[in-house]
Amino acid sequence: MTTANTTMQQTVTMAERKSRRKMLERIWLVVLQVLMTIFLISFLVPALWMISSSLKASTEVFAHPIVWIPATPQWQNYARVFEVLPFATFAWNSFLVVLFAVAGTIFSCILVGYSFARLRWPGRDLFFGVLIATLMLPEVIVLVPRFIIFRNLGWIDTLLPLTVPFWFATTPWTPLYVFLMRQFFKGIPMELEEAALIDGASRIRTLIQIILPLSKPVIATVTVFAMLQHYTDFMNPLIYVSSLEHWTLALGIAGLNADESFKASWELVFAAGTFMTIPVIILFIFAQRYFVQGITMTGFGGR
Amino acid sequence: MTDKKSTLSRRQFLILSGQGALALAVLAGCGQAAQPAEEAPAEEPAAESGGEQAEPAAAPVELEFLAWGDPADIEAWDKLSSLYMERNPNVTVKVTSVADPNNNFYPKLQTAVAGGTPPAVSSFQGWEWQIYADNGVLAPIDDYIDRDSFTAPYPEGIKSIEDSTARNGKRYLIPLQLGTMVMFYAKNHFDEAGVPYPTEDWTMEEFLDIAQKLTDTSGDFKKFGMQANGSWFRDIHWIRSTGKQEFDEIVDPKKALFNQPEIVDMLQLMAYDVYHTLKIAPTPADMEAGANAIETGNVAMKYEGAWFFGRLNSPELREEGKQIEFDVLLMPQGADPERPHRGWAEGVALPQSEKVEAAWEFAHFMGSEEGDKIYAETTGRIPNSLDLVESFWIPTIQERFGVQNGQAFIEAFKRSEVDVVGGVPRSKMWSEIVKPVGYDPMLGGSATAAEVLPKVDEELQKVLDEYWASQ
Amino acid sequence: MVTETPKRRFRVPSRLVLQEWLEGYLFASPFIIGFLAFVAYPMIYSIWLSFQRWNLLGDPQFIGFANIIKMFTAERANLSLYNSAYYTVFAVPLQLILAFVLALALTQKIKFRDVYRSGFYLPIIVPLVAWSVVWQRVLHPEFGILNNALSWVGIPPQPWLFDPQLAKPAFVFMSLWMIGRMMVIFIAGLGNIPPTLMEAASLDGASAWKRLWHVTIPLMSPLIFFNAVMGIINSFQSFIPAKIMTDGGPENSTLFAVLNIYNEGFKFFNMGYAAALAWEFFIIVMLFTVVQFYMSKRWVYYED
Repeated sequence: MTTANTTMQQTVTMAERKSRRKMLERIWLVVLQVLMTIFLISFLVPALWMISSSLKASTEVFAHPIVWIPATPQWQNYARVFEVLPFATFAWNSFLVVLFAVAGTIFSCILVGYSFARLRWPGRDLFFGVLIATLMLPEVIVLVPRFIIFRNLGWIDTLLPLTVPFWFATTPWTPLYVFLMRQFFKGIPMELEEAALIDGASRIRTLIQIILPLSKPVIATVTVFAMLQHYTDFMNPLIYVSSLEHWTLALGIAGLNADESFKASWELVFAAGTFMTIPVIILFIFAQRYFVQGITMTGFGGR
Repeated sequence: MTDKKSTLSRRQFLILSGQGALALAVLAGCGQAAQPAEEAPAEEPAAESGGEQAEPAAAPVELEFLAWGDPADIEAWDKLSSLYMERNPNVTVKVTSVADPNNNFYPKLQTAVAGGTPPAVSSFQGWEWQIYADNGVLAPIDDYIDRDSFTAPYPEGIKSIEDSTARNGKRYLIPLQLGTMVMFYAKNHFDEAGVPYPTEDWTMEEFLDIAQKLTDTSGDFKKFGMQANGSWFRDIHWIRSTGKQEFDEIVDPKKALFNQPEIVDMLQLMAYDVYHTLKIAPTPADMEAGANAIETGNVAMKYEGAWFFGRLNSPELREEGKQIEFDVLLMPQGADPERPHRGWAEGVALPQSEKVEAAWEFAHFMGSEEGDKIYAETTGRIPNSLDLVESFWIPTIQERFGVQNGQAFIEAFKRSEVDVVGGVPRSKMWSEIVKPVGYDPMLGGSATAAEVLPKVDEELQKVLDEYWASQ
Repeated sequence: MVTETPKRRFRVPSRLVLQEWLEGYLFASPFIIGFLAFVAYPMIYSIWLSFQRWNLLGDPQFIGFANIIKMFTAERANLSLYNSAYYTVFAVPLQLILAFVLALALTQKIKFRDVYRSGFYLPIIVPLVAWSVVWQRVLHPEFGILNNALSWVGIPPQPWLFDPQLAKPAFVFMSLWMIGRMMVIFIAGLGNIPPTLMEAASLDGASAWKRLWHVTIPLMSPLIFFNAVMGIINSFQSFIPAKIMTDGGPENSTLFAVLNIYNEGFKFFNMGYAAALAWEFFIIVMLFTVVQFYMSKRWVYYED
């Protein structure tokens, strides 16, 4: 009953409690790990089902009980997709749209972002406010009038409405990238440019030779996001493109799904879907950190 | 050292002026509702006076053909245009095909017409061209028909052809195919259930009775006696079989008359009971994404057309052993003793332009016996004259698809009438009113025909009145 | 001696300043032109268009307020707004909760965290067209895997996309796969909470639950608010799944607002009416956002 004894008892019980808590923590972590794994797998089931069903034989599609994994993978389903509809053309069109739209995005966003970040001109802050406002602009408000404008220009049923506006940093999506560029440029110390300007370099030279090399992260992020958005866009091609030879992949999949002759061929529809998704997955694997970066920089991401 | 900062670099200037020019172009284009027609191509149009242009010295002509884009059609357009261009080296036919899944064919045509650059030749279904004719967009072809004695596609006495190709005394459409629909039945369902195949003189009661006998949804593999079409156009057959029609006139209707007892009963049967009470047809839920259909082997009978042959039985399917043996026959007898069937023509018409004569030559070629044979053979569709059907088409479908009773198509066509033409396009009536107000609730089982058809009449009447008031 | 009140004299800007002005405009010109040509002009044009009836054949016809009246009274237009509201009201809170819970889980010390994060983010980058086409079959009454899975726990097959009562819940369910973006933001935010704060709280005897409620969530409230606003704006504008899977059915129960506008404009070619509907939609979304910003003052905790 000495105080020394009681303190020792207290230390022992405290140590017991601590080790018990540590054990509980460890058990909890293991449980969490298992739960997360189960949850992740269920979460990915629709995507996995799409891939596995793309390799089914047509008899396995409407089978009872439901076939989860095909007996033998029918790789020829993918070849068949290209036969039933000109998916090679669709892929090419998608490629063209992404190429020109993203090029235009990069071009205009760098220029405009730089202007907002570095140059002072009357009305700049007003237009910057306008830019921020257009970030929140629902795309639907310009759908109908733009269609009429493009119709008057004769651009309907071409890929022009899907590419040209993006050379002008216009909604959807591009104002966000302008904002990103501007924020990034503002973070670059001014001394470098000032030195160059004093030496007699033109603005555009400083932009190209000094700012751009330092801006690789933001340019990469914008490129990755813009590629994703233009590649997966469905509403705009739906509105502007009608002939088969100008369809993008998105329209191709929708067309396959709506076609009476093919919508029952789930294996084909899924093969087309997988085909369209593969480039994006590849992009994701290689450019993953730009996706995450982009979201955390802006809060927007992917849709 | 030149003061570089005070002058715009050349590059900046080019950027500015390029964007400025583009901006001006954009803003200039916005102000006009329609652009004037593009400068006419440098070629002279073929001489307007009659007479053949057989000499190779004839002036070069380019014809734009806005064509229906079903895969089978595309192949046919290829063959026909190549052959025509071989024989007429001065003519270039440029085929633009528009696939329909996005409902984009007519909008594209509308855009071209409104923009002042109509195609020389355009595909049309027999009920969609009237509004263009009324607006003066299409060229009447009576003179050409007389001049070239092109009478085969326009036999006397078949009302559906009259209504599909002519309007207000003038002819506009050159038919490339005839359309009608009959009852398809899959033989194996009958064989397995020991039910004899239906015969020509069968009645509605017998039809429903057979359908019930052939329905068995207890097992894993569901079987249904019939597949209901679930759309107004196809159900027009059933509606007219009652002896009534859903409009006061089927050419230029002015009054909507869905809400008549006979029609109410019939639609209650065909758009509701077969799904929900009798359960002899797969519901839309059953059929989602192509499941439980006649072509998957689940259904015994379906009202369909010639385009459907290849989905059930074809040389390719027979190779893989996946074919469904079937035959066709006239629809069962209803209250109307005439037993009308639906019929129409589809083909091409000629928008007004300086190239009408040259366009006619090409369209005439496609509709001639030779051209139409190629078309029918490639697409599998019914040729544009009953003689060709008899002599050429029926033997073909027997061999290719196993159809023994092709004669049924001729019989059906002789008794045919169009769905509805003129005035408000039927596609507009369907998608804006008949489907959402009438069919969707019935198909979904949430309202009966007696409940929805009065509303359908009310809404349709508004649209009709609005249209006729503005004429 | 006359004292002059100092006037503001307009000085002609120096050449250098003018130079910078010119360059500023030049560099910003793509946006200025683009905004005027592709945003401002269309928006103003569509105001004018709202008072016309035009189906692209022939000329526009002035009809006064008829479109506006129709837009407020037509059953389908109001139904589409209701559908979008229903979807948003259920989808967004569920998404927020799920994203937050996942973010919490993924900031614990479990292994392979990056794998999980990538996995949960993946559905967002799958093209929505392809995703919708797959989900249409996932929800198939007879051959879809959802009903298949439910049958393992004894639930009978449901006609998801064919029952007006079930279709919207099915869409809400499907939307839960799109939590990746919110989750990443939450993870970043959770990572920014100084660990000292959490330690202090636990030393004070706060249980994990209390720490969550009284420390974590208030600190995360700006991000929660941000995700909520973005989530609401995105959900309200949902278009592709409804267009591909149900085209607004069954019986218009999944006719969402943007789909309705699309139909009116590009299916029925009622261009004027579609323009009016688009403006109504725009105003509603703007109001929503403004209201949310005001309400946020109540519950969002900023670090000042």
